[in-house]
Amino acid sequence: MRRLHPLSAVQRVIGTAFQFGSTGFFLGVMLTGPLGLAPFWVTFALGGAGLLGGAAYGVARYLRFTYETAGDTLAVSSGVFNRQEREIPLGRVQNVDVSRNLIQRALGLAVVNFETAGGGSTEAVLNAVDLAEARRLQEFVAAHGREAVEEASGTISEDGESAPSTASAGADRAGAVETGGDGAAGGGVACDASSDGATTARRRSPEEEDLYRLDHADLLRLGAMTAKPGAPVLVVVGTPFFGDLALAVLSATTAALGGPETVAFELLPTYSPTELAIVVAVTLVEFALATLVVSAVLTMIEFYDFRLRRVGDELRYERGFLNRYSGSIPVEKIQTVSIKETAPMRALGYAGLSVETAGYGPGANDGQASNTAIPLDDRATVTALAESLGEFETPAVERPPRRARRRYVVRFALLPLALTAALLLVDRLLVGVGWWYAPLALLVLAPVAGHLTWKHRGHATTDDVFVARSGFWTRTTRAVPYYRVQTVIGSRSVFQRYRDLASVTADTASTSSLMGGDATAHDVDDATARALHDALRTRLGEDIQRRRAEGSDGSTDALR
Amino acid sequence: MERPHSRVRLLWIGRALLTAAVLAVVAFVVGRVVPERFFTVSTALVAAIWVAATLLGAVHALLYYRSWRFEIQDDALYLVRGVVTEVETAVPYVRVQHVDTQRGPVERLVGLSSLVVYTAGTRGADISIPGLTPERANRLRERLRDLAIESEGSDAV
Repeated sequence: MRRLHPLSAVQRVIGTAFQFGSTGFFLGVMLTGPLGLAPFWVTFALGGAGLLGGAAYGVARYLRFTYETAGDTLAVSSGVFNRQEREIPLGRVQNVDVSRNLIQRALGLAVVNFETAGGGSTEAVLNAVDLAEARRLQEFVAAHGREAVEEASGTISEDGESAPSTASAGADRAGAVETGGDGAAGGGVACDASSDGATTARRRSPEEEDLYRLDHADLLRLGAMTAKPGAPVLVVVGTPFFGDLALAVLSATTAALGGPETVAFELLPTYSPTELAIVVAVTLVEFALATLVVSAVLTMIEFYDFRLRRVGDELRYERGFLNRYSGSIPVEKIQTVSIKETAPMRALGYAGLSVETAGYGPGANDGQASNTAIPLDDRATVTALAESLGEFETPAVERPPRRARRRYVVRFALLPLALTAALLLVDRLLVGVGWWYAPLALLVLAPVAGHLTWKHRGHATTDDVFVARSGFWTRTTRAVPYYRVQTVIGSRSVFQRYRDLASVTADTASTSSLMGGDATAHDVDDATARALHDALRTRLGEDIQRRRAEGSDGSTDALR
Repeated sequence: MERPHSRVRLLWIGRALLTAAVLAVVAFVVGRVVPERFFTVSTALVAAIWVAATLLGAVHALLYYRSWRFEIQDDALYLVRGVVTEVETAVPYVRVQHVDTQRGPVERLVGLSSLVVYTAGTRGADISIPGLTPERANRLRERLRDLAIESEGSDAV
């Protein structure tokens, strides 16, 4: 039975004491002030009582929170008033993540999160233990995985038949788990550990290998080539805090361009139309620039000093400038592998790689960075690593039929048309807008946008995986092994039926599909869609059978 | 291919009527709140919105019923439904986590029940078949349970 680090208790006690104390103080103020029910000193009495009560609660909570790693489970008991005992079978742990913020780093503490599949949140959070203990826990879960692998290869399989010879079964398993069968690891990256060597090594201590490290030059490139969706919001929210600075910069630029000397909200009505146009244009451009800078800085903070290692059957990464995150992902828990390329990355031959498990990602709320395996590297290296992770291939994809492109052009043309219609309505009903037809100019862009959308979509099927690609700004190529498919979903909208098209989605348990990251073959020919639907179902059944027969699914079922 | 019980149309049309009524009320309230110099919502307009929404909703409900079909196939539960966008879903028995039958108060009123199949997937995590007679729903639930056990699913993640 273990407790959290005492320093975390101090933090917890201060936190709850302050929280309860301020609540008590506020209650006292309400009672004495507006309600007039109590004399003045009650405020302080209540505040003091809250402070003490809060501190006591904090201590109680610290003392009640214990955890234990014994055998095959992690047991956590917690709660002062509502007591909770939780046991997590280690085989079901999808990933173990460690995060450390600035204070925790100074104090040598770490927060450990255990993620399992299902459930709405992280299953167990140890906030906080010391760093050595965090590492021990990570290793404990990993070691359990390795033991289970050994047992699977040596003992009786679930079907009741004894496995053939230990040695050959062990080698098979290593092949299946680590590299997804023969030859898949021949990608030429540093991580194609030889299968037979790995088996013996895993018996004793895990073999470690550095796979990737993001250097400063690549970090800069990554910042420049990645757009964070939160950046514009942050600029909008942040600008008022630097209001004077923002206005000064604006004024300087507009003055230089022949616009008004000073820019201010109250001066807006006094500008001539030309001046107004300059102010608007300059504001937009500078907003875009600020967004780019903020986005780059956010990305760089997030991925600062990113490292990826392979420890036995696990991938371990570390990243972050102020808050340091590290996570371990068992290779056999990987659901899907995605290659992500933003438009500039594509142009320069770079790509990024992320892997998804059924657990939840740490730290990053946008879920983007949660399981990044490689933030940025050249395409060949990224593909090779993807292929070394198992049965993940990245074949050439087949684009949707050309008539799908017409559909996209029409779709993009609808936006300017709708905008024009809206402006026309405003013009007729509310106030006169002389230029209501201006959005029609955007129609020129519709064919371009349609073509680009079409160009970057596609799908492919190989012996082991279903591959779906889409997206222009960030092109994502997802590879889903057939045996990971949960349900097969086909959809045909009226517009798709009109053009004899359909979309097919292979749903998996991976978390990324919560963020709209489904593996979908968009707008394929209807006949192809039906064939694909059947193929996915058949291959799912066959691959599960095959894996079971190979013994890689039998007694290690619980790992998956 | 099996279809939901025809009585489920009552439920769906009822739901459409309710939506239409809510829309009409919203239009009426908007008419009252917005000052007249912007625009006016006449009683005729409110009535037109109500009639149009009712008709559209009822037609949609009927078409939706016509589109709904499902089948217990060899390897998967297969369902098709949808008017504007037709969606077909195949839930392999290996992937079934658990199966529920549910009866809401309104469903009980018309003597129907629905079946919900859960998978570990993220998008198709729960798939429901509405409009089943309680006996059919129970039989179907047991059949799916047996199929799921037969298929010897792993922990299905």
